[in-house]
Amino acid sequence: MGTSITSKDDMEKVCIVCEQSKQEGIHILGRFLCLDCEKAMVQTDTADPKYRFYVKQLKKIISSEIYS
Amino acid sequence: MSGILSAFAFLMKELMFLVSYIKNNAFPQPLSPKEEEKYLELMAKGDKQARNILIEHNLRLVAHIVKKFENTGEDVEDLISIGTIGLIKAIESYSSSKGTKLATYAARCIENEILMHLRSLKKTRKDVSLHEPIGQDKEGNEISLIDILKSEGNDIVDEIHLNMELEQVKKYIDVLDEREKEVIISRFGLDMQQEKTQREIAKELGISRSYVSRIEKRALMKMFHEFYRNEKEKRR
Repeated sequence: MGTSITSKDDMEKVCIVCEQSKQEGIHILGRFLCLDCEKAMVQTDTADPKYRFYVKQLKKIISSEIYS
Repeated sequence: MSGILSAFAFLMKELMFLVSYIKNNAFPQPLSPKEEEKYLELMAKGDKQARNILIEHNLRLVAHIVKKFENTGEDVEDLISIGTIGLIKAIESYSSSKGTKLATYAARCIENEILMHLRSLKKTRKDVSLHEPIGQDKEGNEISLIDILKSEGNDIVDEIHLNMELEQVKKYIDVLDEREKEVIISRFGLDMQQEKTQREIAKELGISRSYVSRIEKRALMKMFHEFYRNEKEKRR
């Protein structure tokens, strides 16, 4: 339980959404999501075209997990 | 027949995809109530790792809720991503003092996020582009909607634009009193009649031209404020 999937400090911190190296953020299933993108994402309306972009980028978390 | 088969195959593929997430342990197992409590406390103290764990170990909940929306025809991976956004919002805003279990609260947020997305899709699907291809002519050239729409004299794009603006205006005309309505309708030909001059309207209403001018200005201002207020609310 809590098999520290998240304790990956040694991991390269490139955000899966903006694809930039960032310091602060969270790891979801080993993929890094920076704080700026997380904040922007949760504040974006579902009708906003940007929302589709976020969804597309987030899919990388799921795809990487299922095909790995 | 082949259409039914391919639709069935598509559904099966999507279903298998979803099952594989859960069965293959792609998503971590849910936390025990004790562990959940511990991580919630840690998160409240600002522990980022605790937040990660709470998000990850509730991803199965996202997959379970997505199952409910399988028949919407939306891509399962898209729905899981959208559900994940809902989950992040839930973890961010959850407070145990509200008396609701985290799973209950998160389930509601995930479902809400998906529903909001589906609603916004419905809205945009209603829009049809004038340049949308609708078929081909005898020579194989693509025909778009704009090619077959006909308008008397005016440019079709201008006419559609004008009609859309008229629709907008009609939405706000109810904020006006009877006299203001009469002036605006006559002045801008909103009843599909010829636009009238202020002098003509003054004569019909038995008032001075300058009074018509004042009514017109006041009415336009009222409508503008109503429009502005509505737009502001929409953006909230």
